[in-house]
Amino acid sequence: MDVKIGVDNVAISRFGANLLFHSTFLNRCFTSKEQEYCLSKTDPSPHFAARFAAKEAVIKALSGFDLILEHNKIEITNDARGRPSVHYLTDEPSYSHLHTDVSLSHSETSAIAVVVVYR
Amino acid sequence: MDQKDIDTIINIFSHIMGIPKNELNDSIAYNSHPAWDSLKHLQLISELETEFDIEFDMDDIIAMENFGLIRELTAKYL
Repeated sequence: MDVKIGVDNVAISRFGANLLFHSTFLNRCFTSKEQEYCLSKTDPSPHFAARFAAKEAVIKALSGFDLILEHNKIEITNDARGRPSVHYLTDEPSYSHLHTDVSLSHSETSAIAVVVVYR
Repeated sequence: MDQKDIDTIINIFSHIMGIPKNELNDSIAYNSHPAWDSLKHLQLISELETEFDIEFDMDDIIAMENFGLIRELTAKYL
C-alpha cells in the first residue's frame, strides 16, 4: 500500500466578506454544494476556511502520487453525523483507486485539515 | 496587451499581495515572497479573471510562479 499525507491550516479571518461575495473566487475554489452548505451557516467563514484547508491538504497528498486537481474538483462533504469526506469530481482513472480520509478542526482563529491518501 | 492592461495587472497584484507598486519586479515569486501563498494566488487568479472576463487553464495557473509570468501568461488571454 502506498500512503501519502497532507496537512494545511488557514486563518479564518482570510475568508471575510471580500472573498465570500467574490463569485469567481468561490466558484474557482468551492463546488456549488460546498457553497450552499457553508452559506447556510450563520458564520460561513470557518466552514469555508476548513474546506479550503482540506483541499490544500488533499493537493499536497496527491502531489506524492504526481497527481494534481483543481480546488473545485475536490469536494468536501459532511455526512449526517458531521463526519467529513473527500470526493474527486473527475473521470480520470488515476483517481478511481484512491482512498482518502480527512480530519478537520478549527479554533476561533484558524482551521486545520489533515489528509491521508492511499492506494 | 496594451499599457492599460499592464497597469490593471500591476494594480490588482499590488492590492492583493499588499506589495507597493514601486517595489514590484518580475522576480517576485510564489512561495518565496511571504505574502504570496496559495490562497492569495487563487485570489489573484480570480480577480484577473473577473477584471478581464477570462478563464485561465490549470496549466497556466500552476505556471504563474512569478510576477513576470503573471503578466506574460495573462497576455495570452487578451
